[in-house]
Amino acid sequence: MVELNYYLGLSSILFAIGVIGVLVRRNAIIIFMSIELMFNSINLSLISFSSFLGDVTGQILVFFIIAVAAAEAAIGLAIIIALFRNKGTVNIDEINILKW
Amino acid sequence: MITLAELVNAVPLLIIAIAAILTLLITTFFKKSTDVVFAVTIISLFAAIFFYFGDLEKDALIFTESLRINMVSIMFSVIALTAVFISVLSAKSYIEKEEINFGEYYSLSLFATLGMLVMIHSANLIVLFIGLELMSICFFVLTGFLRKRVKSNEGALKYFLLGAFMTGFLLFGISLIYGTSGTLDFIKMLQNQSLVKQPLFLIGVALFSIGFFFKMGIFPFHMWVPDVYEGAPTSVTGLMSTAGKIAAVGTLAPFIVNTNVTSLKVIFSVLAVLTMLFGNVIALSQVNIKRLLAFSSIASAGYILVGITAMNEFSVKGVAFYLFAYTFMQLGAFILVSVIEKPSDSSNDYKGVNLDDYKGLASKNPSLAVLLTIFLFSLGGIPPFAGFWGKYYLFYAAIKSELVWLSVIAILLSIISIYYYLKIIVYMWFSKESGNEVEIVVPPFASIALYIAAGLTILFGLFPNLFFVMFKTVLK
Repeated sequence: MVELNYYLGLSSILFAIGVIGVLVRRNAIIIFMSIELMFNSINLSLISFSSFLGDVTGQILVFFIIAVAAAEAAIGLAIIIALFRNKGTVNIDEINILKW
Repeated sequence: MITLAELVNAVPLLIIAIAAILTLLITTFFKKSTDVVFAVTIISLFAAIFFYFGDLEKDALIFTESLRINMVSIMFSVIALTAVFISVLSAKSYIEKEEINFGEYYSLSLFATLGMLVMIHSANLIVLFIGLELMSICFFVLTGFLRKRVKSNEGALKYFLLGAFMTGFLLFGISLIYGTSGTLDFIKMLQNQSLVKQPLFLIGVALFSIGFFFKMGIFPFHMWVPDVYEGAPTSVTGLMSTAGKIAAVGTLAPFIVNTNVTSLKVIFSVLAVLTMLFGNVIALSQVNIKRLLAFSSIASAGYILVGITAMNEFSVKGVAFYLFAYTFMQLGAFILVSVIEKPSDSSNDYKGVNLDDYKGLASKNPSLAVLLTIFLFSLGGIPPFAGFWGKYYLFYAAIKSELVWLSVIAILLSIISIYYYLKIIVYMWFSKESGNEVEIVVPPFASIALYIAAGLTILFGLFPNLFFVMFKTVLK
């Protein structure tokens, strides 16, 4: 059996890749994809905790995370499309009307 | 099995859930029925508040121990519902003015309210997560509700991307809490005292708190607040800045206070100081009133964090009273901004939200000027109004926990805030009118909402004990 730490290590690495993606990329859709990667890395860690604890609630939470991520994708893409129609770009460097 | 007793306990939540679905259905089948939808929304919110004061069990775990109905959660729920009630009451005329008079506005507000109630009542982290996301997703949509206006789109995109990003951290925290404690249940977690000594659990709690700090707008997770508050339609800004904050604080505060994680106290107090400093200092230089109120709301989040940091028996009470007072003054100020705002034209910007537009308001419409003066004095913490007692109870809790230095800093920083509130008041009363402006018409529902907010600001300023009496005798 593979040790728990390996799963957690993989999950943390995926999470870090997601965070870096959000911080580095400039395209709103790619940023959104990076956020989805973060969610999936959390799903992985929850499932491995759940499996090693012999407790099923972690897996139930994963289903809810998947459902919420789907709802968020629908809303997020709608917002991105609404912005694209008015502005013609999804590059977050050009989305800069609101600033101090 | 769901028993009848459980359903009776969940009546306020069920009312909101049914009303949310009903309003959505009415909007789908009858396009021109926004007045009906408005009436349904107002009645259901009122009914929910009414049932909270009714015959609920005062300490119950319902629906297979996933929702918890107790004094604290009822208190925060009532405050959140009051905020939504006043906000929706005033929103009708605003969305007509901005030509976004769709029934979905009310439906989304109700779904967001349901999310808040679920979150406040949650007894485990799964339910908490669902409630939080239900609320946040509705707020993303409401922020972008003026979909032809670039500012609104931009605010929505920023809020969405950052919100989802922070949800990631919150979930990572939940995952670590689950991994170390082996449960997602709050009560089981609190029973296991040895958890507080595990570093991984503390990291989990810290990440979990980060997710909530983002929703509350605590430094350094506050940068979305001014942008989103400025970009969102003004009625939505009022809703987010009060009800959204109440829900986040009402969920986090009892949890943190009960776990009593003393090792996080230093971090929390430093964050509180930075939040108050940042909010108050940047607010000094703002020329847009929505942005100014956004920074003042960041500062308010700092005061609330002072109360949470105290982590004693006065914390939750103080936080609840402050939020209650804050609801009326902040919401009242935002309703006024939405009334004074000029109707939309083809441009991409909100009109009439700069401080210059408030010059000479007293000669144009004295009653509005008086109301705004009340709200701003209350926000500044000047004694005869509710805002003063809100700050008093928060700082009292901090002093009881021997955090005198924190209270002193908080008081000093709140004195800074009086400067920018007084600036608006001086503009209103002592400056000459800039141009020949059109007369401001106050729509009936908005004026009802304004007078409710102002009346309660004064009432709870004169009789602060009324709040504690209300939640003691009626709820016990």
